Amino acid sequence: MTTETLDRDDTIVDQRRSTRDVWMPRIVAGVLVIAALLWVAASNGFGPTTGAALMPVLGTAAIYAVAATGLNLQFGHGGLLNFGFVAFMAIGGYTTVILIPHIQGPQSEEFPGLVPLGVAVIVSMLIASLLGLLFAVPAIKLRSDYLAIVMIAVAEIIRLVLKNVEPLSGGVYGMLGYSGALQDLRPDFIRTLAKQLNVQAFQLWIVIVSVIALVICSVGIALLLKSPWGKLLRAVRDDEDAVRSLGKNPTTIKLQTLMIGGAIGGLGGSLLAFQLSQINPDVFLPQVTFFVFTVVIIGGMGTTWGPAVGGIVFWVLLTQSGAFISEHVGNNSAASALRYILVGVLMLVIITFRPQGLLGKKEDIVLDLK
Amino acid sequence: MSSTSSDLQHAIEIRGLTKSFGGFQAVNVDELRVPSVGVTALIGPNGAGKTTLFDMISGFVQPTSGTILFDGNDVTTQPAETRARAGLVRTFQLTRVFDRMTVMENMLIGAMPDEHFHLVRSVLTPRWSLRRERETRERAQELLELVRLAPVADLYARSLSGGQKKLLEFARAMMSSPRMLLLDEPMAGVNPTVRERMITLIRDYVALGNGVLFVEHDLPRVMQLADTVVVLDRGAVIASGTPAEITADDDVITAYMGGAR
Repeated sequence: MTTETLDRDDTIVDQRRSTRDVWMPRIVAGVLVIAALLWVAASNGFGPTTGAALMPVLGTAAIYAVAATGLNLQFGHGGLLNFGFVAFMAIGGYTTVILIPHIQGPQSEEFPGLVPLGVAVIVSMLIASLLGLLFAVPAIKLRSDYLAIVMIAVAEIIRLVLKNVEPLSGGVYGMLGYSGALQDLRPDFIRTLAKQLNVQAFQLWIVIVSVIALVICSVGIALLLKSPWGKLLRAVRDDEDAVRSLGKNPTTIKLQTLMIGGAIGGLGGSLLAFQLSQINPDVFLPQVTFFVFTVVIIGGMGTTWGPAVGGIVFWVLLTQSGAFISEHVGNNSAASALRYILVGVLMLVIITFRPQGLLGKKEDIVLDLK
Repeated sequence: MSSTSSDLQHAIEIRGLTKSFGGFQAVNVDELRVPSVGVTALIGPNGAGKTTLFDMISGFVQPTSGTILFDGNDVTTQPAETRARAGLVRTFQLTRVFDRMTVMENMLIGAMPDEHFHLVRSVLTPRWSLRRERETRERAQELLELVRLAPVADLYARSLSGGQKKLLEFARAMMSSPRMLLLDEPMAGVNPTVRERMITLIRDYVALGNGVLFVEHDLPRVMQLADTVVVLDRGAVIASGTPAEITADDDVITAYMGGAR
């Protein structure tokens, strides 16, 4: 055979990504994260309260990033449009709290713990993924947009059930007094470190736990996606019928993705419960799903560290703009709604000018909105 | 079938197969057998029901009535992926490649056996899974060289030309060495060079003892490539036989030329 000659119509688009294409998004993302954190510091005049102000921001950002890692697996890598992601978080958060010592309900009844915290968290992740499976089975064979609609309903059903099954969930009064379970596990050096940083030890501990959870989830999913299973997931996202024609069952893959993403969402819910130190059904409003979506889209769908970057940028913008608005515009509810408009504008800007998000590759865009 | 010899093995046997969309009967095939070795062409005018029949054989469309046997087993209600695992692998008229994966990755998805794709294996024995994947990579590389896509193996499939995508889909379907390859218009929109290459590949594949069933509009190519030709018109088989027999058949000429009936 002669040397490879390509046909005249076989034009190839050169896809080799230049070093600039690889590094520029990373640099921009890094600059944005630093700018976001500096914004928080600046609003505290870089004074001694800076650390204390950064803690809740970093904690919540990391927790949203953990949840976003789960949604990113489902939506960014798997193309599963899940508009009820908060359901996994609610189930995860509630299950963990129910299993450990807590106070709940209108009479502030004390409940003893059933299992150690570690077991509680693992059980909560399992239950979150199993309930995801239960609700997704009827919808998963349908098109992605139907899954989205079914999952919105599932999330609302779960929230309303939690609101009304008072013996189990404490109803609208929710549950509190459970934070000790996590703080009891805090090593001593955290207190020393917290003192040096001039922050509260319990807050620093939640931040550290959340960041560790985020790193484990991000790296774990990155490894999973490099495996043959991960390749098959991307194939399912691209073309289910082609996958079927090659003898693989896309439904199995989609259910597995929904379950793994759901378990991570459950972990995010548990962490959120500890960050807030009390939960009630309205912690898990439908808007939380869209917060997590925003985090995924800002950071970049189908990326490893997109959720982490998106979490910080999103949460700082939401909270800091709130502070800015109440200072300069007014302290009424209309003014505070402005911050959601700002986040919406950021979403529009990203989807219009950089649909792959801060860290994403253009080739990986899931929804081609243009 | 013109051939009634009992020594001829049939991979696919269809009996009383119908498909109706509302009041319209798209397919109504009393009997059709596809030899397990050799090239069988399915031809017919537009709207004759070729693709619907194809979809029913591969499991993407459920028939209204009738049975489909593959290697003697009733596969009528089996899902498409089960049939593919049994060795009945198809391609699509509108090429379906995994756009956001590289050409090589596209190939790897076609591999069978496929235990290394299982989630449990990928999590618990990642090294084994990756090693198995590397093994299938060798076959993928061979096939890509065969269809001369090896130079573009690392490009995203979406950047290939239409003809290259047809070749990729064809090579990907061959990854599992299926005993029966169903090709839906493999040469549509493909330039003459690529077309000749495909004809060679199909002939070589059949020479190894496999079967190919394909739908095609390009009659000169059909006559050149096929051992058996089945003509479909208005959902029914109106003729079948060797290319020479078919070209002499009045019914076929009428169906194609649109004679008044």
